[in-house]
Amino acid sequence: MSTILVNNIKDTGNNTLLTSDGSGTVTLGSGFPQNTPAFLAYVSANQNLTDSTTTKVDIDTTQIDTHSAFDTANNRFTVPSGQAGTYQLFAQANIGNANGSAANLRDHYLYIYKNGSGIAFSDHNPNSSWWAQNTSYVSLITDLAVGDYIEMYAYINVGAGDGRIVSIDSGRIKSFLYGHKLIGA
Amino acid sequence: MTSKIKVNILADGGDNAIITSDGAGSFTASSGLASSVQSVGGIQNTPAFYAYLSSNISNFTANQYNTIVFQTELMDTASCYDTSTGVFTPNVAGKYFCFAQAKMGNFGDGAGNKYVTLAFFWGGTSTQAGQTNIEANGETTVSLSNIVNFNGTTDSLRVRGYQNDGAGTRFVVGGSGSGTGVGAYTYFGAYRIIGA
Repeated sequence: MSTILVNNIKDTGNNTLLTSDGSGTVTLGSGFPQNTPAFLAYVSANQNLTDSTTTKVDIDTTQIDTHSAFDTANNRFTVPSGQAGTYQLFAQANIGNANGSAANLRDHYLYIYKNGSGIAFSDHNPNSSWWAQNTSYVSLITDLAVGDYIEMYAYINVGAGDGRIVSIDSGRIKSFLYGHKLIGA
Repeated sequence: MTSKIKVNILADGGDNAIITSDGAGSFTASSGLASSVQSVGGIQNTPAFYAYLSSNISNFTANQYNTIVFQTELMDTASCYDTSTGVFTPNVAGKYFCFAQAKMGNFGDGAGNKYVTLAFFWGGTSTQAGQTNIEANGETTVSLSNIVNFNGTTDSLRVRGYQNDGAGTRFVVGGSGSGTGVGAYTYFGAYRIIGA
């Protein structure tokens, strides 16, 4: 029996396969599959939406963006080169009306869009008893190709005035979009 | 030039074994490596599946949980989801991120205080539920997500819906939206988490 003591294993191209800190904590090299790209971006300021109109949500701030693939100017995630695959996507939005607490929120929808068309959505229609606010969620697993872009849209019908996407309440992010690539799926 | 070293123990500079071989090709990963690599099943978020309800369910039995069978798969890497029963039984042990959504409503008796509930069921027991109040004739969407530990053999998960409306038609909406709302109303999916 033999033992080799080593903290870094590289391939013949000098690429690190794995490293150890000398205490048994092992870190895989970047060449191993990872759940990236990964991103989480959110709405940093309340956004009023024209009543009964499907509108892109202004996701303007990133919290996680491993591949700098989320464009906050255009509010979209674009699959970067070499990163095609199967992704899990999730959207959440706190939906209300621009009048604050007025209980006139009627039917409303939250969408995940791919390349300008909806691929997943959440549908609420409270009928005759209007709400003040509601938090909608939608998620899916889907294949994405390089260059595909993902956005979040919403439709809000309120009894008077405009709808609103609520951004942050007491430091808590209320409306956001996240996603990451799955490995081997 | 490519070289070859034959060795049965690969250890770090502190003499902590990373990989041990029995000399016959049977490897044992250290706990440190296993936690990074998830040695059973490899570095993959699989099994994974995503299925949706392709046609409406009508006349849910009131005041009890009814299993929702998501009939159409968009993906199912290891055939662990059964489209005839609605049950997900992964064949690799581990923790899974599970999520579900259902659009439900009722054509009720006109009385108030109606609600719909969506729940994950572990065997015959509800593990998590989401509930939304709804007026008669209203429609709403309930969403769930959770991390669930499966043994890789017998453990299974299903989604059930509940409506307390005592009259009229209680329904779950299948299929996809129209116009700009393309996508499934009602779905169920899961994938394995690495290293958890």
